[in-house]
Amino acid sequence: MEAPSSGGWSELPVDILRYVLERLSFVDFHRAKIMCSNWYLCSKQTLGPKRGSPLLMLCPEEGGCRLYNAEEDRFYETTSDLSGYQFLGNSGKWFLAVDSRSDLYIVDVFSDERILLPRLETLMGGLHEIQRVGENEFRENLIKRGTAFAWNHFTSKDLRGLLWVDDKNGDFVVVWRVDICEYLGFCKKGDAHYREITGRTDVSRELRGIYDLVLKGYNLYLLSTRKYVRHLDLSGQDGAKDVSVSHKFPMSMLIADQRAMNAYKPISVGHNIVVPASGEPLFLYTRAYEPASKDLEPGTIDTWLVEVDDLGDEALFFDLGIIVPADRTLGIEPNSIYFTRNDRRFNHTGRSSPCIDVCVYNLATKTIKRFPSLSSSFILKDAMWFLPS
Amino acid sequence: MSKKMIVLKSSEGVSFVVEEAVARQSKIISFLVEEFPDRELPLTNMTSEILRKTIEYCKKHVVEDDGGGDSSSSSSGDLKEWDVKFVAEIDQPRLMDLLMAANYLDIPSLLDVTCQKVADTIAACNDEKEIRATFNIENDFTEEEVEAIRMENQYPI
Repeated sequence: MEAPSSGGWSELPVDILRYVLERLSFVDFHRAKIMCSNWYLCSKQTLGPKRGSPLLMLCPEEGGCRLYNAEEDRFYETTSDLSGYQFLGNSGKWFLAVDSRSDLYIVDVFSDERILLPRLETLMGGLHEIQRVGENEFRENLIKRGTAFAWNHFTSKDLRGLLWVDDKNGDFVVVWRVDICEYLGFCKKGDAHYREITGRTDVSRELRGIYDLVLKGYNLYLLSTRKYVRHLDLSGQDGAKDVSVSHKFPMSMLIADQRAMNAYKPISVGHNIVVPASGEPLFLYTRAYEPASKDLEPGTIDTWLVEVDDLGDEALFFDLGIIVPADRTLGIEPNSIYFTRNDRRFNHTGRSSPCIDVCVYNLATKTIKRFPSLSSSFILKDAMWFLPS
Repeated sequence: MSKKMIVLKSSEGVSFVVEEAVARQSKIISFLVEEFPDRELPLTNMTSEILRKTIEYCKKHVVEDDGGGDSSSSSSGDLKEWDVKFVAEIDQPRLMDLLMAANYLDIPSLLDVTCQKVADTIAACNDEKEIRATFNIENDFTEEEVEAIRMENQYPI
């Protein structure tokens, strides 16, 4: 019985080395592969490092979009040029994007694959009708007794959206809305048009209004004006099915921190819902103020969050509205909020441009981690944390 | 009922008498025992030290079917703790030999803990230099090649 004799770590048999490399985190994998040519060749034959470290999609004012891996402090170029897009939502490697002509797409950031979605004007089945009046401008008509009333004008800047893609079979759900308007459009894979979900009619009083929305799988959660959660199941063939259970959040949250509010000029205020890995949605109330201190440079904007509960061994991705288990090997920090901006899903303050503050806020230590190489490299017009699948 | 014993012989010619159930955790030995019953099995590429270590691991992990009920003395939590201690005590060169032994004898759980130990050791290094020093790996790349690998700046997926 003979077996190959061992000749040091660099000559580890490929099978074994592969077992080892597959266990490494993203950073360690890329360190290990440049150890020697043997390890490098082997790295090419493995599935690669554990995937799923949080990444940032960056849209700078100038130049194309970049991906930033915070754990490595390193920038990556996207495969295809995504600079013409405005990103609305994300699910894994897929982004819901709108181009300069207000066409909606789902784009894969790691390849050049993209899926064209129905145009906004195809919205039907509800009270509203969308009319394109310019390349990038729309009129929303309220249909009443067969007559259409001009109601509202909007552009693609006012669009908000959510996306969920099933990695296994490529099925997807897209939900969009015009900021502050109280109806939604949604479509699923294969649909030729959007179906309308109204926020006012055919809804019990406490569930009326749309303050915030989170999509998780086929489950759409809406925060009503009265701070109830409206839960819609979009999986069926016949449109959205209301499966809400009476779930109300305390109103007292809204007047919390009144003193701070009076003392400082608020930049943004958020009343949001976030959905944990299991269980009922949570309410999240955030405020960001301009600092009153004169010590800071004029124009410096500092933000912080208040009224937050302990997240334990989980992390909140604010852009996505979801809470996921922390994972040290992936660099998902426990008890932390991954934050970029407050108005991704709902513009509560009416500011015309978002106030972007890319950070990870640790609830236990009350510290904010920022990323110096971001601010030194780019002026950002948008950024979004995401978890590539 | 007396337990069936088998004999394993290391490269130095030292014989180890082990219970068959213990040795059968190796898929290779399991196969050989059936093919060649009542024969001493020579493991010419394994030193006595590594063979002893391997047997120690197998003894701890054996699940005995006879004697009624669950006769494995350790709970899975204890076993995990024991594994951690077991690999922690092994130094770098011997870790490699044990890894090779686990691979050669086909003992999946031992291969698993030893590979994890290597991965943890790599993760504990602060930079590439430290990994090289720890594992004594000679850099056979030219500077240009290293640069080229680093420049693979498409997001690796």
